[in-house]
Amino acid sequence: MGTFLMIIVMAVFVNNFLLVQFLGICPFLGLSKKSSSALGMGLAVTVVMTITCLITYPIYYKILVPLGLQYLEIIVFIFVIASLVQMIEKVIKKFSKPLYNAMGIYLPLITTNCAVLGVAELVIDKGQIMAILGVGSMNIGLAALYGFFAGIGFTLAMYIMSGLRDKVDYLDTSKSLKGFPMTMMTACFMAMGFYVFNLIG
Amino acid sequence: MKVNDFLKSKAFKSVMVLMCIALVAGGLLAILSDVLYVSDQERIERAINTIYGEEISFEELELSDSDKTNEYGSIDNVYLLEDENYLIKATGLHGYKDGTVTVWIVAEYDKAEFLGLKKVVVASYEKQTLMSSFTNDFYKTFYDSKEDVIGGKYFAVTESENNIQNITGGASKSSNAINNAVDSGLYYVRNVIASDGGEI
Amino acid sequence: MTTKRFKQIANDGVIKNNPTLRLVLGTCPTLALSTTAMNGIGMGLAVIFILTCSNAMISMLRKIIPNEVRIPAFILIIAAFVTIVRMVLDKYIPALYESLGVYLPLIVVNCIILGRAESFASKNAVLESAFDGLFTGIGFAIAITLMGIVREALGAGSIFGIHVWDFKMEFFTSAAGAFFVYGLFIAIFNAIYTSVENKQRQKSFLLKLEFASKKEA
Repeated sequence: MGTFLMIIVMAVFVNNFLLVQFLGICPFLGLSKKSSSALGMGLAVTVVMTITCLITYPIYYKILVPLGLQYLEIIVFIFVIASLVQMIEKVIKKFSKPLYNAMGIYLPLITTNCAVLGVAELVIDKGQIMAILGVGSMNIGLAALYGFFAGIGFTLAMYIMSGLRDKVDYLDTSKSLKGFPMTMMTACFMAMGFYVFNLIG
Repeated sequence: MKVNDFLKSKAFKSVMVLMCIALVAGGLLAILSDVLYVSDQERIERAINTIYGEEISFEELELSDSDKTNEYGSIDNVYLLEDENYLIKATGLHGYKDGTVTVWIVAEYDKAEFLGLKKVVVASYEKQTLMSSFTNDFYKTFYDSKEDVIGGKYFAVTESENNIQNITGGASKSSNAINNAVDSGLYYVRNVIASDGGEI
Repeated sequence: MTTKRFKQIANDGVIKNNPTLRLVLGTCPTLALSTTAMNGIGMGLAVIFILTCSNAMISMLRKIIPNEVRIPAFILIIAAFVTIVRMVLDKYIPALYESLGVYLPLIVVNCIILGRAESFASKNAVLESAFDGLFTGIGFAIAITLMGIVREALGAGSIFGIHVWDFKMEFFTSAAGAFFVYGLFIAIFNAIYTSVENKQRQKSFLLKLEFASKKEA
């Protein structure tokens, strides 16, 4: 149980995808003004990240490696992610119109989100992921788990940022600092806050 | 005609274009991956250069079956370096959850005399979860106890007359595995290299 | 391709549409690999190469690729080039390969490359697209390397690994420092850009006035 909690803390906080590993920044800067859209994007990304890990991890270790085709990794992964996103979009459209209206528009953007391809690449690097999670061995379950909680960390950071950006927009700053620079400064403070979690790890 | 329509349709053209690009890309990459192949030999060279800190030529020694295992664990590879030192990759047993730790150690030699351990670097591990707790102090013990090492002692987590104690609090089982890995290498040094003519 | 067009493409890529400091695209590698000047240059060169090649290739194939599948097709082509760079680096410059880490494959989904492919390469001739890729890449490389120099100098007291002074504030090499330096760079660059642009506008406006008054006279 202790290790499980440790894994969650590592994935969500200590190695937070947005504020520590810089994965998935584009939507972070562009989309995070409204809390509802931040949450929607975050959850969509989390779902895609989890399922991606569930698919790419076995593909890499059961198909690509035994056949010596590791060099096809990037192409295969991106193909999987793109197809997955297309499928999820169709499924949501069919089963829940309101849900589709709420978050369907973000789905095509997720294909090019660094966080998704990033997590797929991370979990197959046994040395790195085992060190991040502090575990002794790696399997598909842990991969999917990491995908899920990394996504949660992403969502959390997006959500906090959306709340902060509302307040920051009211500040009276000089013209050149408006827009992206202010967002960067906000992110800077958030990153400093999350740095505290390093002391746990 | 339905077939003709399909062949002219956007869908078919799209699929064909994508497939063609994928095939050409895949083929090109297949060729390049052969050309740019980093062989296992090359990877070993790189690992050795990184561990040792400098480029050095080496010769891999053949291990007989009896050389490969001992009471502490196993010997994976032994390399005789150009400067007379031995680079040994050894695995230690009895770690946390019965897992193992594999280390690189450099056994220092000068004019066939064993001078002690020069480097200990962890290469990989199985089932150990607290590997990050090991600080420089733990590894320093391997280098500092030169007299005891030359004198024939082994490393262990418990204190005793015949052992050099080396343990990191809270990670005793992993300490055990790392000690065993180093001891496995030392066993090879004392029983195989020594009997082949080197002095100890 | 005329010299005027060439100059325009160059200017666009490096200054007017600088992907890092004006368009704020491809932020992930910028933040992650501006920790040292060496990393910055390494990533910059990789991106220059991939951007130029993919722009050229996509421009070559632009009339063949149907509109519906253009994004997947672009990504496939970019992925192929990224894989090539990955293999070459692993073989010949393993140190750079290690330091780029997971961000090397992430170049595939880098907004800069997809963005240029979509907005330029798919609509322009091969030579122009290639140069657009080259100069956009150079714009990125300059930005990330400058950020790398600043962060390394202030955070580790060195530049390109050469010890410069004893001042060292770890903040600058940390994640928070990345955001901070990036934000400052955007602000400063845009401030300079708008003021230069304003001066040029004033100048051309005054010239127009002069010309008009001469005409009347």
